Amino acid sequence: MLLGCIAFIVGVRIYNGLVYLKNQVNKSFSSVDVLLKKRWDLIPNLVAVVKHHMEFEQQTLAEVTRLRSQVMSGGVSAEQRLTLENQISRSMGNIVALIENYPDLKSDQHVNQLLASINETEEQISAARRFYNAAVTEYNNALEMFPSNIVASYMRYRSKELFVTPAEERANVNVGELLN
Amino acid sequence: MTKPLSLNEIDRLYIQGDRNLHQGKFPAAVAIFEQLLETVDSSEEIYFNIQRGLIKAYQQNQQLEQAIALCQSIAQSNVASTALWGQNFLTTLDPNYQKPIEIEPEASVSQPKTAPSIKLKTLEQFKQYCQDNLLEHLQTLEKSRKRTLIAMMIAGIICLFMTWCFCLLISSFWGVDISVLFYFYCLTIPASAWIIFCRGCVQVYGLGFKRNIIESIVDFISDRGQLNYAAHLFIENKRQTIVALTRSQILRNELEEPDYLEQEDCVYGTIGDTDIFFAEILAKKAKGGHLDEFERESYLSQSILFRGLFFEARFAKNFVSRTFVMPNDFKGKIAPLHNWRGDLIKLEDPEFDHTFRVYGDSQIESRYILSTNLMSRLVEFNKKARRKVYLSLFIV
Repeated sequence: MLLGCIAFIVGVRIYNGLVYLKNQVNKSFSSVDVLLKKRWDLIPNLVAVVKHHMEFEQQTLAEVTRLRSQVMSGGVSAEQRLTLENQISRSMGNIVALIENYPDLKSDQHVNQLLASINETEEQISAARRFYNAAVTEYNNALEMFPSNIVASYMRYRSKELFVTPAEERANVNVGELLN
Repeated sequence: MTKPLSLNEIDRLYIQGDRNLHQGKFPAAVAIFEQLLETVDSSEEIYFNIQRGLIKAYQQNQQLEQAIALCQSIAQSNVASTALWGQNFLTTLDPNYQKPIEIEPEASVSQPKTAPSIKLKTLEQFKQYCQDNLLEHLQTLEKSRKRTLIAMMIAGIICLFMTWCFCLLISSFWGVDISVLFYFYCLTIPASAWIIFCRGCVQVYGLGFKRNIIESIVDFISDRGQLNYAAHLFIENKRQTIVALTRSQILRNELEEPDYLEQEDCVYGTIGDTDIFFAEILAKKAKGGHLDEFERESYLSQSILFRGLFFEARFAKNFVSRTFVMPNDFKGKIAPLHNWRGDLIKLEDPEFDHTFRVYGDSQIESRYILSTNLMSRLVEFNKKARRKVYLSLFIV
């Protein structure tokens, strides 16, 4: 009887712990989502400010606008969205690097403010991704460790993927190549 | 004709004037600083500190006209940092005062003015600087240190000997054997006097060290006058430190304000866009008695809340939540029991996680503040400092 009670209490604790970890993962993912949407709002401003000056980089500007429209349409899977967001990151990084080539843009106060906002948002996204990865790691650990793995398999919980930086993003931006 | 004062007398008078200023005895402070200003040569390093003390004393003593007049003369000084201090303080004394605007023809109008950053120096440069500028002071100080030590030892031996003679006298007068316990009992009064004497000696030596060495080192580090040094700061700065210290929650309780604060070796200034201030502080909490800043002697007992180097700076990122980084020891682990510090933040840097414990209101903002770069720098600093490092980030 006593053993049964103890087993029940332990089981409930593990169950609640797993639910908490799963919700923590969802919460952290929604935080990333909020910040990514915040970045979407900055894209039209960036394009509007630089398009008159950067006549020779219209293709880059059009690319980032297209990616934004595509991701905002909503008809993409989670994996596709992740790829698109990574592409947006890369395109925005390219635009920021190209601005260095335009002294009149660089000295513009509005452009500087916009760049500061983009930089801040990127850092916040990075922090939110780190939070997501920490939550997923904790969740995945619980799914693999004994005895929580027994309860997790009963609840049909599956391990989740971490945010991984693509290889091309890990490489340093080659500004020379961009400007040629 | 005013009698010239020795360096020690100047030091003693300056400490006394500064103490009077801190204790609210403004007329006495004015008298001492005025006397010092007449006797000390304007080329002496302490001269500006005396002027500054006198202006503060005039201000507190409601002698605004004299304060403004002296401040105006400082504002026209050839030394840029001195003139800047004078101009800044004039705006406090006289609301109608217009700060002179320096026109820099090549500066961009839209760019905000940024203080120059500090170029880090090498150890070799520092050694060379010490050789060229500090060696003479250091040699003088070394002599002074030895003299101070000898004086303290002689005074100690005299105390022991006099007490022994006193005990012998008592023994022969009463005709009884004197126990060791009685000897130590008799020693309490001379020992107290000896401790007071030693403290005075150390204080005088310490002031010489601060004035000649620390200030020069600060000047060496900030080659373009970004940083300023003051042996002590004034009441309003003290209040600012008390507020920052309390809100930082380094102390156990957010609402627990120190009753007594001592701050020495204050360094302040602007590097790049960042205003910084750091000082050695001692914060105490008084128990019982009358809790008045100027009536310390009426306290029944005092307990130390914080002793160490307190660094205050404006953080470059925007945030709204609070983040606390504390050593990963027993005190850090039970910190949430004393005070609400938010959730435990588990960070991904294993070395940082092993060294520190982080609490914060927001998981994301704490990570936004504690970037991977900042974490590795904190770990490195902790290794170098070999002291407990606390970090509090909050909005003012």
